[in-house]
Amino acid sequence: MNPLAAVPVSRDPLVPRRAVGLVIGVFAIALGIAGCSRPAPVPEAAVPVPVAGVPTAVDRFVERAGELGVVFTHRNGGEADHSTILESLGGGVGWFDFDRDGWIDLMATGGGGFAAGPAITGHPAGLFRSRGGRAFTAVAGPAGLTAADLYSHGIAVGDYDNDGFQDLVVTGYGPAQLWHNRGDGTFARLPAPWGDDDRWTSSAGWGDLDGDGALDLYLARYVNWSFANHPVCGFDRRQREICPPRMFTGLPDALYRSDGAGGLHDASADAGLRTDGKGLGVLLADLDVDGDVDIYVANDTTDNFLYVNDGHGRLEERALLAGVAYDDQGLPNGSMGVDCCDFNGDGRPDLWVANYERESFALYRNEGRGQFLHVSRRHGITDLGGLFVGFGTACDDFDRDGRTDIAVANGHVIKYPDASPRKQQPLLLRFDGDRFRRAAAAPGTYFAAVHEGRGLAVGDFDGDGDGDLAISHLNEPLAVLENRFPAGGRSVAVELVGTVSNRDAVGARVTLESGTGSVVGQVVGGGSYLSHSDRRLRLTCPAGAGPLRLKIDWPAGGRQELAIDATTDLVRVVEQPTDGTRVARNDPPGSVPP
Amino acid sequence: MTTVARHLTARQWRIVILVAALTAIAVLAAWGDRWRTTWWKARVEAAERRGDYAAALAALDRLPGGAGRTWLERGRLLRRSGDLLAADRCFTAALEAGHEPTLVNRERLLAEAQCGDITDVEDQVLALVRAGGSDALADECYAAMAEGYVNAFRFADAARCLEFWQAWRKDDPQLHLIRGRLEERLGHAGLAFEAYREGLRLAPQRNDLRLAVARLELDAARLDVAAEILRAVRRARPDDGSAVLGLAQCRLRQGDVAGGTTLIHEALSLDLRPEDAAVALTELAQLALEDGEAQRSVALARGAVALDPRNERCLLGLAAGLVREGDAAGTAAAQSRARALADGRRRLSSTLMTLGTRPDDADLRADAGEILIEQGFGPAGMRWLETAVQVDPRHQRARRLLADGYSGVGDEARAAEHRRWIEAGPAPGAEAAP
Repeated sequence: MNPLAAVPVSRDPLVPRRAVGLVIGVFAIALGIAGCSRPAPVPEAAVPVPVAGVPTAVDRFVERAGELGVVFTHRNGGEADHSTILESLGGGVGWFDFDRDGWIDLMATGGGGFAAGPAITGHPAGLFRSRGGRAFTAVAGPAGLTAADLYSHGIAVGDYDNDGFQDLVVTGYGPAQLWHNRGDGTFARLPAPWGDDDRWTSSAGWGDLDGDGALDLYLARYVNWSFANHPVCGFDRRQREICPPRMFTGLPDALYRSDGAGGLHDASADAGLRTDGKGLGVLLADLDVDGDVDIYVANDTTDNFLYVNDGHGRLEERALLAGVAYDDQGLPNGSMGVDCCDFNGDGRPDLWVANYERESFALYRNEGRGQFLHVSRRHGITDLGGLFVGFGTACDDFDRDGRTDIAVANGHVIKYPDASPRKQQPLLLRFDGDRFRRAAAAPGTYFAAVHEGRGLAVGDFDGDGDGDLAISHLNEPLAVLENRFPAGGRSVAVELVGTVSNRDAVGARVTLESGTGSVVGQVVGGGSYLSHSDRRLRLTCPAGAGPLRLKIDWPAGGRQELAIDATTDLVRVVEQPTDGTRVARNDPPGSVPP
Repeated sequence: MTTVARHLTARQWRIVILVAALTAIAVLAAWGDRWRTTWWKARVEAAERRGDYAAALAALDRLPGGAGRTWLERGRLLRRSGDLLAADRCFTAALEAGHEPTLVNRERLLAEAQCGDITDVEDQVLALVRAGGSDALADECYAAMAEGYVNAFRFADAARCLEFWQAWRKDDPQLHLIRGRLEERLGHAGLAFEAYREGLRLAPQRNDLRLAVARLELDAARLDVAAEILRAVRRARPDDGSAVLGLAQCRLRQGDVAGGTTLIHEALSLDLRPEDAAVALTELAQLALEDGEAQRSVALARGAVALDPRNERCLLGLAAGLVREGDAAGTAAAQSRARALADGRRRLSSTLMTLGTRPDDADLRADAGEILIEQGFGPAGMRWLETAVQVDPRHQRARRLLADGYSGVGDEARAAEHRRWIEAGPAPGAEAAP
């Protein structure tokens, strides 16, 4: 049969003009999300759970939230069925010792929902005070953290006024909140320097950029979604789907500099921040090892940013030049979580970024001189496959064998994904000296189950010297995972107290030297995704490594060294000014000057 | 019969065998060519159905017949495989060998449509369809038009053409192959993947579809699946460079640096398209960088960029090497070119989308043309510029670009015509184009 009558194309010489109507439709689909291509949701049970890599060991994380008294769920309002991109971000968690009793406490953002109108509402945060690491008590109400006027996402912890008590910024859809820790177990909400600027903020991080001894704040912003800019997405429009970030314009990030007296002022314009990002993850760390704090921003579907600090607080965006803007295919990724770690033991911090499905998580090896190289495939990361949508992530030596491990919380962002399920297994990657290998999970454990994971933070809540985890999920209770790996080496936990430097010591480098080599760690600001890990460092040398020595390179430029005896596993080091002057700060009880 | 055989003497046996042999020779002499033709023709067709044009061409060489006809068939296969320059040389050879011009001209017409010069020939191609030829000819026409629209960035027309074709014949794998390419151009890997899979369902042995699916599987980091498909292609065509390159990339992503490197070198020793060879060299450049050999990496990356100057990854690979060599200017140039390519792609998408709501906007048409020219798609860009001046004959920027474009290819007559329009100035009330 020959379709004689059917003329498939326009006859007009201006064919494009007559045909462009179709372009909209085709492009609308093209700009849609991968999940649009199949109308039916993927039943969780029917989809094989992503499995890749070679199992190396059974993970030893035990989920104990319920028995510890941590009962909390971040809610995203999905039940209203508005299918907004707002629902996809989820919330963060934070480990920090807000009452300074020596035991880290736990905070999680509550998220929000939708009321008639539709109006966007918030849920209060959860704050859980540690009772000696054996149990937690919910204290958000007594602590004053009851505000529910923000659809909240992220937590950034930092002692911005250097009073010895860590303060908070809570991000979300609406004006971000600045909470001052009064030091009596309560928080006071302060007027924020951004006023009622309600542009959508995601992650935030604290770090002293200009070396004045006070923390500055970087606020990442996401996209310009609102109910007034809420396109319908989904295959054939039959099942409404959450629109991808490509459908929206990115919002400019913001930088607030401290005036040294507890005040913050907007320095975004002076800093020359790029305005074309869609920020989700922020890390403040000395990435080029030149003694000042740089900023790395993980953007969703656009170039990642690297702001290199010139030592005086002036920033230059050099991600492309440094090789950390794109993946190894030259493509921007859907980047969410970020951390740094010296995985290859060369003393330089390498970058780790959790990305969207069909992309590889990115391991950028620090080559020195401000250069990084994407080495995911060389070290087994690409071998994990592209089924994971990675969010919260952290590098730590969880099994204390002297090598870097990485934890990642995974979960999809859309309702009807076609390539991988909404709920996904979290990952625990262990470095064997050459490749990162996925640790197999014992049946019935947290890591064997699937979740819609989002925020992730590390902290040694029970004080046994290893890194425990807190992981938040969408509409699923918060998980607290106790680390029960047997110690494979000799670990030392280090808490730094800056006196000339910022009190949180963000940017300080700590080197633990032993007879067999050295391990380097760094106190960072931000990191992971919407979350805050305890700022105490845990460094591990191989067992039998002989006498240990600790070197601290402070952000203010001084270096301190001290010997670690065989019985010491926790050291608090207060910065000793190099010129002999002592800055009066509220040092914690039990500080151990070297 | 058995009784007769039993009574034959040895001499009689020899005579019988001799007669039988002579008969066989006579039959072969009389019918051999026909059998051979039938046999090799079937081989050509089978290879073409598999999308294995190299095998089809090899089988064609064994086909007896007139030189003109062979050249024409060779040209047709090369056209179908996308090698339009080589195809054109064959059409010329067919004419020189005395082949009847009608069929040769028809193939040339389809080649012209297929390469993207479709505006000038679409009437004639449609006339061919209407003339009521064979189904196979109609398929060829639709395929050439659809590919032509894709190559001309007339995506809506390509989609419409494919819809018409599909309404008539759902089971043509070529249709799904072209639909997949269209979706890829639109940046929608998911729909492209579905199209290729559907084509592969219809023609499981088609290596071009297998390779397309494998490439998307590789992009999606489903390494095991990609490797399995690529191994199947390699079994069918051991000298397929694309399959070997894909396998190399799988190995590299699985962390097998040594195995991956060996396969890349093997791929480079095979017949690779320039774009694939550029990818292979870029992989080697990346490996060299990982090993700290910046100088070697730069040399490899330069080779890659020379082979495919529009590949952002090649450019960024070169930049990564140059920055380690301390060549700041070279780094900036390579990165800037890579960024321009990415920006151009984004601007093109945005422009084509906006054109959907403002089809009479000559500025947007000029934008599309300009971007395409910047991106290295000169002919497609020129065609979009032509539509801009059809909407607004006094569109200064489009006229300027057209004049420059035609001048650049030595067509001074057309360039002069556009310059005359420029001298006439913009339409009253129109602002001068930037």
